[in-house]
Amino acid sequence: MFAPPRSLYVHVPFCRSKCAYCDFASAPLAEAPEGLAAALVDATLHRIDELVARFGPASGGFSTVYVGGGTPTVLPRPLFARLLEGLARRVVSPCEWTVEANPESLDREALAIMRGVGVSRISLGVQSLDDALLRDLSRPASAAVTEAALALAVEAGFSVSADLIAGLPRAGGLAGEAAWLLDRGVCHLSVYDLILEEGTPLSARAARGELALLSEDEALAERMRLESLLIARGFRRYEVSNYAPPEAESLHNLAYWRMDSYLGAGPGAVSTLVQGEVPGASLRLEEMRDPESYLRACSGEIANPATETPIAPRDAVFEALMMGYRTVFGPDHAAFRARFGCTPPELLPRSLAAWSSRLVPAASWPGARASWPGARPPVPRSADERALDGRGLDLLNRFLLDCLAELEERSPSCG
Amino acid sequence: MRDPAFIRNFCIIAHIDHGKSTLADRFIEKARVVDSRKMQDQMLDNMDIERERGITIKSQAVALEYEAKDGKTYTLNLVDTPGHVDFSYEVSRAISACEGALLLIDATQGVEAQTLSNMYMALEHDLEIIPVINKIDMPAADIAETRRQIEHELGLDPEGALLVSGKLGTGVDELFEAIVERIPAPRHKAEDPLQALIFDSHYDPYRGVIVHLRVFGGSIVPGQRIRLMNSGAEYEVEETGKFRITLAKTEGLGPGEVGYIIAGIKTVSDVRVGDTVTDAARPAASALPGFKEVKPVVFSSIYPMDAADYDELKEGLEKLKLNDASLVYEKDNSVALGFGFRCGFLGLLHLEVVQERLEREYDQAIIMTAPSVRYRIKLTSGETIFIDNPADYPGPSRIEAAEEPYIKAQIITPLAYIGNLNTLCFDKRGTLVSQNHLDERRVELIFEMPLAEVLFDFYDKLKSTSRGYASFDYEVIGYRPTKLAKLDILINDKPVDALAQLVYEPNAYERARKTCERLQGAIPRQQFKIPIQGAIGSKIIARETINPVRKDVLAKCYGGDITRKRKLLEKQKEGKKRMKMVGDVELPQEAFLAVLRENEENER
Repeated sequence: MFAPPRSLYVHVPFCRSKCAYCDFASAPLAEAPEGLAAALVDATLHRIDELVARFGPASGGFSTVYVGGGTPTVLPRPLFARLLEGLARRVVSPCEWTVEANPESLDREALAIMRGVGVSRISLGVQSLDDALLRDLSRPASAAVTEAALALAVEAGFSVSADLIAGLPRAGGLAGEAAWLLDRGVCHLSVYDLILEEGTPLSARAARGELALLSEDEALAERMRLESLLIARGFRRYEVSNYAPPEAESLHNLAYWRMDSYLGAGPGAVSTLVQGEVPGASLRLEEMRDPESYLRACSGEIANPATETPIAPRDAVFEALMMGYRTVFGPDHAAFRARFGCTPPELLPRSLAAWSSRLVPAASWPGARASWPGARPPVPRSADERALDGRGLDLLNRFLLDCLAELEERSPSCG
Repeated sequence: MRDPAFIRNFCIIAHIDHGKSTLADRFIEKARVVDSRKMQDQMLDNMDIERERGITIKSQAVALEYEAKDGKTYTLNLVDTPGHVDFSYEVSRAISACEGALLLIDATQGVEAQTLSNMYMALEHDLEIIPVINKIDMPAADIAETRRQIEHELGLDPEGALLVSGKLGTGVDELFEAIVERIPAPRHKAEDPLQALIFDSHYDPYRGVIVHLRVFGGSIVPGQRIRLMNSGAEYEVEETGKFRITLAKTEGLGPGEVGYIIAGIKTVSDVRVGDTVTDAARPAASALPGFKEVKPVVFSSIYPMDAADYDELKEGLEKLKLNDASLVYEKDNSVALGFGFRCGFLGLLHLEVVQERLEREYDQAIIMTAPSVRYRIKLTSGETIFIDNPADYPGPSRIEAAEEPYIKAQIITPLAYIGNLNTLCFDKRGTLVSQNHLDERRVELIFEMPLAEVLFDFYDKLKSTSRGYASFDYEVIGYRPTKLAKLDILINDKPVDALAQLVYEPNAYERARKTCERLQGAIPRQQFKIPIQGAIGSKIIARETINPVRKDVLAKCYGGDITRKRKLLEKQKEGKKRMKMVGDVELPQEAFLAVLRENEENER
């Protein structure tokens, strides 16, 4: 059938309050009907069993688990424990288990529950340390709250990643905030350019001209300062928006960027199963976004909780390129050949030639931590494996548009 | 055939937007030509663009049967006239097909430039004029003031003005009676030799060319051999009929009647508006007066966005030409854009209409080059040439003298804007010929100025300078000496022929600066820095730079985002098809438009 999934994503569609820029499948827990969260936890665990029964892996063999949202830590502690303990029973010692948390909902009790079941990594939604900016984005935390939560998590022995939002002016500057976080034990950073998603309060404010955004050139200058700081601290930009020292990358996210099979459970979560019976084709399942409908679907009251979409080989190839070229590792030629019968240089001679000045030898896969599908001995990649350099990553869309045009001119198969 | 005593031929003349088409709709409705339930707004304007923009481009006609208070039934032939300056010749022909005119004035706007010029045109043709005050239902309607303007500015009797709301149908019955009572019946006789005036024609895909005409003397019947007196061509009449929204066949058309003929004519360009139809065997002694060949005054090249669509563009133009005799074109080619067509238009609106029809009705993605007038150049060799295409510019050393077409521009404006409008027209190289106070608040300004100046930034500035109050009309009056230069535009150090312009030399710096600025605003950032330069010969006179794009990447892309992000990129790729590669640079369609149009946001 499909290549068995080795990564599991679990979506918790609740948060304390909706942020001004957010268009995720998430709603304030306080507004949810009583009992909904508890029922959803049970339904989601049940749904994992269904998906695993259908697609694998056998005997709980997930390498990575990621519990995201929303804000998983907003769940009342007994419910939070029920979710994590339920997951622990279904997953046998993954090599990376991440839980997303926001500073205001991270406390000793939550940390103890996570410790108890084997969570190894916390992804902390910091976004900024400028209190005025946080208020502006309707974030409930402050720099002081963040500092306290971070200290607790580091003290409890978790590997902590922090999210920052770029593109908005802030008191300490982006590099200043990053230095502050690294000084307090953060070992992985995700820095996202603000995306004004349609329909969010923030995009409405921007449309009215009420939002001060950094210009393209100012944003670049901010990022240059950030990157020189991070390089000095031993970090590298290993993906468009992610920075870590080698071997501290997020293995779970690497599974997406490698386009390995993965499962997603919970409202709005997505699964992708690659390498199906049709050579090169994939299958994508998108779970219903509305929590109440999802509950009814999981209990069998209404039909299938997920929309299933076959991904034709042509689209699957492009997805593998779109994801693979996001990283300094580039697409994995061995996996690419196994899946599509060819390698990117065979498929895209023209685009790769046109972008040759922005392509560099692909970095070695993080290999020190064993037992995840991408693990390889830390030896150099094959000579023709390439990834985009920093400027190339910044212009990824343009590169991909060239690839897309070239793919369209070819016959559907690799030949 | 109808007794001429029971025929009334009339047209409605008005400034643009004064509600002519709406009133025509009410006429048709009242006359029960069509059931009101089936009524489509602006019945007479059957082209999409006309309906959408609310303007009439091609004139049409309709015959209404009306039972008057005297108990007799009259045939009222409404000849619809185009409402824009570009088509003033067509207006004049439609007017001369009538004995009377309804002079429509918007009660919220009052008398404007075309109200005056159209009235003069109607007076020249001895038409009985009935002033009609329209839009009386509007809160801003000022009937007393409009009456006063009719008396003082038009010199007509305000007592005779009728009050109408085309929208609600108020006053339409009274208007019908006035048409019967006040507009004279045709005076021509059936025994005279045939003289019929062609005032329009259109192409029907099933029946060929339908010629719209007004019979003066004589009559016209199927089987008759006819001659077009100015072109000399002869045809045999296959069918005659009247305009009843659809074409209604008749046994013939007698003196004074308005109708159509079908005579095996292949294309509308074989028929000239203003030509006289006569009997080939018993021709009239002379043609009806006023014929002239309409010549294009504005020129621009049209290229397909995708060079592979050349044949489709050609087909689209051919189809347009079937219905638009005034459109002329020939093959053209550009280094930057490949094969296309050099087209001639009656004016800027005509150009825009053709552009929109190509894009909408024929689904063509096109690029148009900056419009140009036609220059008359005396070469040092003694030869005289006409050029409208920058590609044909002979170079300064071969030019002995150059001339460009001038217009007489008529502007009517409230007093408050005179200063600013004078400044605008002086900037556009205009000379004030006269300034006539129409009353204590409004002034008519007559300027002579180069037509080329009207093509670039004029209309929008006229409107913004006068807060929309000034109205404008013009006619071409002839050639005057000029200093001509060719402005080249270089993108990434390479001249782009499709962006070159013929300009008045002393204005070249200003024009180059503006063009570069606008291009900078319209061309998206690319992977490298792009200089944009304006040059006369080898001398660079303006420069802008487009900085390279800093970042073009989706910040977040995880397991749940893949489908959406893939589709986003696929959509962007489709958008790229509206980009033209010129050298290494991708130019969007808007870059070519930016050269043509005023866009305040792009200005410094």
